[in-house]
Amino acid sequence: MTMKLTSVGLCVLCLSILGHSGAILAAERKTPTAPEDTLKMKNPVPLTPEVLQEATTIYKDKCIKCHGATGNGKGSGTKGMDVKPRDYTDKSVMDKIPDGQLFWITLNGSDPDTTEMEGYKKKLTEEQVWKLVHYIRSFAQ
Amino acid sequence: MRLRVLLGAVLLSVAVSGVLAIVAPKTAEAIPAFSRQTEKSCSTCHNAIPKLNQVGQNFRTNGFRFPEDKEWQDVQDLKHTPLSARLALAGEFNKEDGSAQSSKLKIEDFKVHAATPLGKTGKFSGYAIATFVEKSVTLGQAYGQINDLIGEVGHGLLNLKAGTFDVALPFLSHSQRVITQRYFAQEALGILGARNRGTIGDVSEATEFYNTALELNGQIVGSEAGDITHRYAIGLYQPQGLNDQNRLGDPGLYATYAVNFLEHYTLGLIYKHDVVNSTLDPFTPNDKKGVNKWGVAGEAKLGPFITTVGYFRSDGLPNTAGVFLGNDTNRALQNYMAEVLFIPNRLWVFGARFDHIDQELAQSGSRTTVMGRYNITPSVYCQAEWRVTDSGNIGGTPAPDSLNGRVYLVTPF
Repeated sequence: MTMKLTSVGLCVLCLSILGHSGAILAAERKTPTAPEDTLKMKNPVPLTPEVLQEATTIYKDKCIKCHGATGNGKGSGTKGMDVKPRDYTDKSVMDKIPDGQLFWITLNGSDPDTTEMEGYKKKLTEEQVWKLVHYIRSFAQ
Repeated sequence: MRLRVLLGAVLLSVAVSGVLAIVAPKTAEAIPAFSRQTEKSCSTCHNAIPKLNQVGQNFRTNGFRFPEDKEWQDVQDLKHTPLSARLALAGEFNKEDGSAQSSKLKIEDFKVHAATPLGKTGKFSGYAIATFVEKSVTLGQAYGQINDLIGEVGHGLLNLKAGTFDVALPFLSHSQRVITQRYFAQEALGILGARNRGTIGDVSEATEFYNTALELNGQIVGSEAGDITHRYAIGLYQPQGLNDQNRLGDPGLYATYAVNFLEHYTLGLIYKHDVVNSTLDPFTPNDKKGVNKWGVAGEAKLGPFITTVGYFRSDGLPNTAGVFLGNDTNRALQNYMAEVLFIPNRLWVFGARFDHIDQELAQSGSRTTVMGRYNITPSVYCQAEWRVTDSGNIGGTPAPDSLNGRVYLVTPF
């Protein structure tokens, strides 16, 4: 009898959890902000076809899985992800993000609690990251 | 007494957890082999360890390579030794109807794990786990896979896998249990993985049994999150339940298919033609019999909730011994299961599962389990489970109902 009651209790608990699924807790984007001096930085790498070409290769190797071939933030690696990468094709969003912020997030990563964006400071040079910033900007143009 | 044991286990876990929280590195680079190799965090591939998300399923099917980028090529240089280990400590409480309660603390197991793609294009992948448990060493999953038999390199459209591994659905298998209680579909039906060698209802947690198999598998992964993903496998395997005689003479056959659609939903089908002896049904002669087994399961990931439901069925054997006169039913085993995981953040995981099995002319059985987990670091966690078992008498011998408590501390490194 005790076990049946316990089973019923556990089932009720299970159903309660299911019931709460109506009020899904959508994770919020909490992107860290770069330090003030980095935010003010302008891209020191001149924009040339060669720079874009190199950045394209880096993007395909390191970024496309999550950020997608078109930069819309819906790459195959984001399947089921609650907080998806930024949509680089959205001009209204990208216009509000300074170069320094893109540079700093690429080097240091975004919010580790809600995103999978890790820092690339061990894998890429600062010059390569600035080239990537040019390429990222090209999606919204 | 029971509370004191559980309290002791919890306090011990908390104490060890505290020490680990201080000394264990917090970065992704400090945790097991794949994470070190790819320099990705655990959550890239796992919803909750060891359950794989879609990215993890892609990675595994594709011979431990990410299909959409070339970062896996870093692995070819073996910059990081593709080895990791895991130590699991457990506190147990058991109370069966009609017998005294028991409790103990123990080392659940110690596992050494090696896995990596090899060659300049990752043409070959290897995977092996050795488990040290209860003073003995067993080889768990151990297999090799030749990747990209057809299609583009690094996409895993068709691969050939051979060895000992988990024959199950890509999203629902016994090697991916967050709730460590075994599935009836595994141990009693032998559909999700290999059935226990022992009798039905044996809840021994000592060693998992895997199938030795030869499999063609593959996947079609869309380039965007919303694209449909297909995963498929077909294989021949050596049934686990047979005696050692002429096992290759009676191979089993299996096929699985899973589809992920609308990003958050997955459906899977599995079919096995298994070869069993009399342990599946005690009322048949002790001989090898072929039985059809199949199952259908679905999973939905909605925000912090992952809900999985499944129906699995194993046709029984003919009632040839005349125990039930005038009854020629094949006494199929049927299993219904539902599981919910609630993962509100990277620190906590909560779960509940209801697992039910029935068979005509037998008293049905069910297991209800609830669990909670706290992640001390991205890979080190402590977990508590409470299990209520209504055993029934499937398999012939009535088993006592039971209550079981488990507290684990799992430390991969």
